[in-house]
Amino acid sequence: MSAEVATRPAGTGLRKYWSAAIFSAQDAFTYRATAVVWMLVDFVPSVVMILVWQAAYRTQTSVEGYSLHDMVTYYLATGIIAGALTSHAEFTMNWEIRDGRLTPQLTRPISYPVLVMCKETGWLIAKLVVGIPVFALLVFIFRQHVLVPHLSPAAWIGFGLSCLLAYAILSLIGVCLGCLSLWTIESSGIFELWWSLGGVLSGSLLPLELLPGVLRHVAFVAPHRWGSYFPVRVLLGKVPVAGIYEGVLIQFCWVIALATIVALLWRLGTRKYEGWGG
Amino acid sequence: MSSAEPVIAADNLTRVFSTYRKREGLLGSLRSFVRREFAQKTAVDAVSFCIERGELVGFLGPNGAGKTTTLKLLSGILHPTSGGATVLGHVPWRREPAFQRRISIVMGQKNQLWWDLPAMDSFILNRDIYQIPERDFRARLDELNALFELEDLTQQPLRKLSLGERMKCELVGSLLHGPEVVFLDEPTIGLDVVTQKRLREFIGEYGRRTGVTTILTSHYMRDIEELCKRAIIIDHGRIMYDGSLRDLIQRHATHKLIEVQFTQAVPVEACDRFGEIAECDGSRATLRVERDRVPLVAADLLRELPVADISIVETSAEEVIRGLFAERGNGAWALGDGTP
Repeated sequence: MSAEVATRPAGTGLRKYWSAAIFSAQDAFTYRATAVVWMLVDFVPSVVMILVWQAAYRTQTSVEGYSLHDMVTYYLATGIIAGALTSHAEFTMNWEIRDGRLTPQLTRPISYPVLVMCKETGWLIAKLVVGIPVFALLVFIFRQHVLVPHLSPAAWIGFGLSCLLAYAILSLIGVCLGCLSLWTIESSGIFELWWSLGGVLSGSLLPLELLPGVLRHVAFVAPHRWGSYFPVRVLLGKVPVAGIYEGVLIQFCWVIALATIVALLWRLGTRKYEGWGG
Repeated sequence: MSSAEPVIAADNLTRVFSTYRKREGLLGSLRSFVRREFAQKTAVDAVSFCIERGELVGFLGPNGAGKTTTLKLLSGILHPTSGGATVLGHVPWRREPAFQRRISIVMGQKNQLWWDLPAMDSFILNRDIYQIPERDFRARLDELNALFELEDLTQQPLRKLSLGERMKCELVGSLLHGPEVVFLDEPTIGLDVVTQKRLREFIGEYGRRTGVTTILTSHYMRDIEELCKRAIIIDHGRIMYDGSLRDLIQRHATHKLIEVQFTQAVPVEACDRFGEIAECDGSRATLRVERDRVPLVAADLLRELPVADISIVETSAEEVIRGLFAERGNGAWALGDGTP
């Protein structure tokens, strides 16, 4: 057996990330009950909000341009899109950094932030497998209020692009937050604060048009709205085609900005990292 | 890098950690919450050494001596506070993929393989991470499977395996890309005595077959004694000794052991005038005798007592090192004998 390294590398540099995502999906399927519960949890706020709004719409037919049908479709779409696209990379990183599991990863020829994002993508696959039947069941239950989207092909393409970029934005935000653990060791309090604000600013709680004054302005400049909120509005047909591609461009700019921040935080943080835990 | 250059070279390598200090009790916690106190701890203190290609070098020292920190610096996990190092001509903490593809690290207390999946899945992921050609991957896997006697263990989820089986899988996973330098950090920790021995045999055999350069850290003396011709003894971050264990014993062992088997029962009092009694049960005795008195004492024993058999052995390396540390006032180091 030769100890010499292989002179001809096999495959491309991207194959390792694809493999990581596939193995992560297999890992996610190991614990079926957990995968099911997590996806159900993602739908709970949506179902609660639908029930609340059904009560509210008994005395009116429209709120800020949203009919009951719009609202039910909005929350169901938010449930599946936000549930699938939301990454929890920060919790994975926090655990691996605090526990010292990051240590051996730093010796391998792979980008750890990208690896974490790929692992989260594996979970996305698992969540969709469970989430789509749940979504179909909820659509059936609320079928009298659900609006079927009528989008042009250009809008559908824009919707697909907006979902991909929203996923990249949410993953990169997760990795940015996760990098904080390189300094603080334990950052879950910061994550909770971020996602509490995120519930409001990302439109999961209410469509952003319904937020009161200052909060609405904050929501429109924060990156959260370019997560699940933008694709949901595209799906509901509330954004004209030109607006969709303008939004996609803004999403792309956010991806570049966040990727730059991740690279900077990672570079500085790993210099600081002390490899705790033996 | 020319073949004359050392594979690993450390030059005044130093790493200082900033450690948070908390006073004891609830009040101490409250004070620390408001105002943090930090202390500086030098984990590795101006360490310098060179390791040639194919050497298997043991790093020996008590817990907290700086063994693992040195390994983390050499494998690129940590940045040094000062000093420098090169491994295979690369500065490790630059973490260049070309460097990372040529090294490997195994940490006895850290799983690198996927916990819920069979080891084989992690091996395949490693194949892709290290871009190992499929043919090389299969050939190495077959050979390592045979060497480490894994059989069908690689098909079971890692969490279902025993600690020893997991460690074998970790070793296989870390060797699949054919690293030129391997860092083994406490690979036998927590294993039972039999498994430790098997693992040592595997490591030794792999080193002989491949000529890989290996640094092994352990606080189990037997790991180092059986595997390494050269030992670096480290304490409080500084190198105390760098050389062969045999030289260490010859230079620092002030005593030898005389083991005597009697033809009939001999009382303890009859033995103690010959030397310090390490062990005596009537039918056999072990005496600790100063090196220059050994021939004389052996002759006296043969003349005066009913001796059936007599042998003279060197003091164990463990005892010598323990003596060295005691001289330095470090009585705290209890060298492991391999018993978890």
